[in-house]
Amino acid sequence: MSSETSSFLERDQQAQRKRKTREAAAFLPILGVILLLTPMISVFTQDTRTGGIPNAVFYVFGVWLLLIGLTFLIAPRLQQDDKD
Amino acid sequence: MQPFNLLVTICLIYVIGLFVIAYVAEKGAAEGRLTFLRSPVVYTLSLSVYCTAWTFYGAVGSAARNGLEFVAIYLGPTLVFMGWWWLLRKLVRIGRTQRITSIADLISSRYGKSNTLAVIVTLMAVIGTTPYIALQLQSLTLSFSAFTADSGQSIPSPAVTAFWVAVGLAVFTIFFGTRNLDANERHHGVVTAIAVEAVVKLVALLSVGIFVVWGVADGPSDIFSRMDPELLKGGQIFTPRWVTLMFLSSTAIICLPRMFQVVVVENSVEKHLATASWAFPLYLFGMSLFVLPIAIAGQSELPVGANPDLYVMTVPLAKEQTGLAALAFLGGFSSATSMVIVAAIALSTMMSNHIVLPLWLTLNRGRNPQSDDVRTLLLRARRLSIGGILALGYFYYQITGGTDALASIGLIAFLGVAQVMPALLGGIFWQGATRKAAIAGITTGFALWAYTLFLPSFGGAFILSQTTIDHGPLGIALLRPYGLLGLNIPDHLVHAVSWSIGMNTLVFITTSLFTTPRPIERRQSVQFVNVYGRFSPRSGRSHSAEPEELLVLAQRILGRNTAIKLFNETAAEQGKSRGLPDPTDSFMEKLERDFAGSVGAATAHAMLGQITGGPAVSVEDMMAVADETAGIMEYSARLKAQSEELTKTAQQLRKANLQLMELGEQKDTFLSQVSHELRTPMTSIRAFSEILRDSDQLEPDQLKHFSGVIHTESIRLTRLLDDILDLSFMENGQVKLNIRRTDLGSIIDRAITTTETHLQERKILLKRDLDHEAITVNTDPDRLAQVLINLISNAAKYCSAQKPEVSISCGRSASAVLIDVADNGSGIEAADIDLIFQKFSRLSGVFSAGSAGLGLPISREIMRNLKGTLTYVPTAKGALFRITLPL
Repeated sequence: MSSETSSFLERDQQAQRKRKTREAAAFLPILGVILLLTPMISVFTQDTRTGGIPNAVFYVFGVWLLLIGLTFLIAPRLQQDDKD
Repeated sequence: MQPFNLLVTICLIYVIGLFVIAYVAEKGAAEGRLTFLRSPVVYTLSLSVYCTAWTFYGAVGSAARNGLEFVAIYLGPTLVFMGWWWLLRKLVRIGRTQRITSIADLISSRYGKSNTLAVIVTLMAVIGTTPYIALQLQSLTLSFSAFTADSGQSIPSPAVTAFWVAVGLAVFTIFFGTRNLDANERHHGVVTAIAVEAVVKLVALLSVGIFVVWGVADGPSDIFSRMDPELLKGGQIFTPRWVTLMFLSSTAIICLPRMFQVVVVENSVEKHLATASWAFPLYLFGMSLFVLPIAIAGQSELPVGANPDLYVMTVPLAKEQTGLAALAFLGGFSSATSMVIVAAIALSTMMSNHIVLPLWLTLNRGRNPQSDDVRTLLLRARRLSIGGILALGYFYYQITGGTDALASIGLIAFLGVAQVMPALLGGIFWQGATRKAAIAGITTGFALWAYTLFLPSFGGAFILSQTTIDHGPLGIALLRPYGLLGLNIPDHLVHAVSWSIGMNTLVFITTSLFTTPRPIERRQSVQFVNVYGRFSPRSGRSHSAEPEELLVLAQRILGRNTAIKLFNETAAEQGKSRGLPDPTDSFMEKLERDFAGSVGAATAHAMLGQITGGPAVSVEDMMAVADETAGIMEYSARLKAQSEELTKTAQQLRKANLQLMELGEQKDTFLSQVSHELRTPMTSIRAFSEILRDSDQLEPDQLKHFSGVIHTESIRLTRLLDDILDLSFMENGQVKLNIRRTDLGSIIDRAITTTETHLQERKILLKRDLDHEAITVNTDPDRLAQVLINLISNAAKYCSAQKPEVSISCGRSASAVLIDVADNGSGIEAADIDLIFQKFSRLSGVFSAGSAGLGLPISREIMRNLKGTLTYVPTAKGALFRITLPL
């Protein structure tokens, strides 16, 4: 493979990654809505407990922390993307 | 020390500390030091004005009453910040490029710098925020009294406490919020103080939480085992109210005037959003993590009937942890003060920019705006507004304090400001949204909000009577505020959200579809919706404004130094070494934007409009926005032009390459021709010299003949070499010319004398035009004669007529002398015309052994060196060569 082709592939891969990051960023709020704003959440928040803590509390705070973590992972990449 | 005095001392020390921090930060920022003040951490912490005393105390109260519902108030903002890339980033970018000073400014600027819209939004914000400020005052006085309830000491009444708190807040806000008119409307001192308060809030709530979970109870499972089983309602958290609260809180994070102030206006670096996107939700997470445990502890440890809104303080107090309770008190104090300070700054900006200043401009319509000091007026208006807003909040507290009406006002206020949301979102994502639609949508939503939620919340005490609330106005049941058109939703908040936001959006969209935006709206809409796009600044059009007038106005608004600096820089950009810049389009645009940073878009527009007097939107502007894709088209047109240019260049390169290859080929041909031409005389010389060498008995006649041939051939060889040398010199421009003023006739005489023998040989009749030969030319006579000799001998050689004639005629035009050499032969065939000036070319018809074919190329080169030309002019009969010489 010539160096020209490989650099083209690299660029293409970079562009792909950027697009994926943006798509992931778009998906995050949607994921939040799905996890927190649909009747589905009742499935996870039955009146049961895990380790003495009600599942509803576990679920809500767990999802919250998960969403924060995902945003934490994506934010720096988006910011880098913005610079280009 | 008595508890009350102790509290007052703590508060005073705390407030003095805040003053110091704010002062140092302000000074540091002005001097460019303390860069950490502009760090994403400070930005994130400043966002915590979202957490007011209402959330600090009230979240626990809400948890004690409604379980997990309070989380929705924090989850909404979390979702908005997770999607920062789509909404917040755009808002911040617009805020920076358009110099937005408040949410009212944003809406007004987007919809054609309409002051009507600005006033509507400002009034809504005041109506929505005043009760909120009252709520903060109530929380503070409640916490004061809770702390000192058991001391038995005679303490000032809550009203007095609230009064002094209000005064203190007003002083702080005026001091740091209106110290100067910053062009960017940023307040480093205030923001830093708020960031510190954010830390205090968080530490206080976390400390109480940790104390409750591990001090009062024995870890998380123990605290939850004490929970009232009814509290979480069997885990059924997904209810219409849950969805409504999420919606309200996510709109509030943008639309609340104080939130807009910290998120958009105070944002100094766009990338801070990237950090805040996860850090702010994390902060909210920390603020709510221990809310439920504190609520549970309050319910299980405190006597029945204790106010759940004060659990944060009363639980530590009941456990005799006075220090912790004091910290909690300080947390609540921080929450309340930071909210009031930022809200007052945001509202005062809106009031002074959108109400006071336009009013003043209208009152002074006749006068030039430059004749008064706008800055002083503006600062004074802001200070008065801050005082006024806090006074309003205080009176509101005085009237409704302690009632349920105040406690529930938090969410009601959220919904009030949320009415801006459709116009805001439509404004930044939809170019078709119009000013009329925004006004219609906002007023519809606002009216419905007031009717279905705000007014009834007073419980019959204000405008709407209890009978009207229960049975509808004039007993019309369909118009009951809590059941409009018979809509039966038990939760008043959900009912009001559905009606007001639903109708607001509907009216906004339909009106947009049926109205046409004004030109200035269209221009603004393009700049808002395509804020990331490229816009080429249009310039050139001059305004009627006098630069001096502009400078005076700019000094009044921006301050002397800033204005002068701006004018000098612009003048330099325009290429003027001194003096004032011309009022070009781009300069006026920049001025207006800078003014907008201080006084808001609508006012800036109006002020400049008064000076220029001309139409605010030029024909060019209108044309630029006429097509909504103008920007894109312009860009693609530029790309197309570039690619066309590239194609052209490539074509030229290809042509040049072709020419080079041709030249190379010509060179090869030339070399082979030269060798061929050299070879012919060489061959005869060799042959004859061999004969001379090898034959002993040669007749003297033969001997003479042979050596004569050798001699002739060597002469021919020499001439050929001379010619080649001559040509190559001439082509390189190395030939030395001996230019002098000479009579043209004498040159022609010389040429004819030289060619005399040729002419006589073929009995050629020579015609001359002696009258016209009397011209003096400035040239090299030898070289010109050479050309003429060549032309005449060519004519003599090739003329095929029965009675051959050669004529030489002269003439002069305005700038040149023409010399024609013509014969009456058959001329040169069309196919050969291009060939005659090439080296060693042999014409298809005639062939001459006497010529190497270099005559015409040399002649042409000579003429080129003499700055003239030699051309062949096709005529009806015979060949005509024309020499042009510059005069």
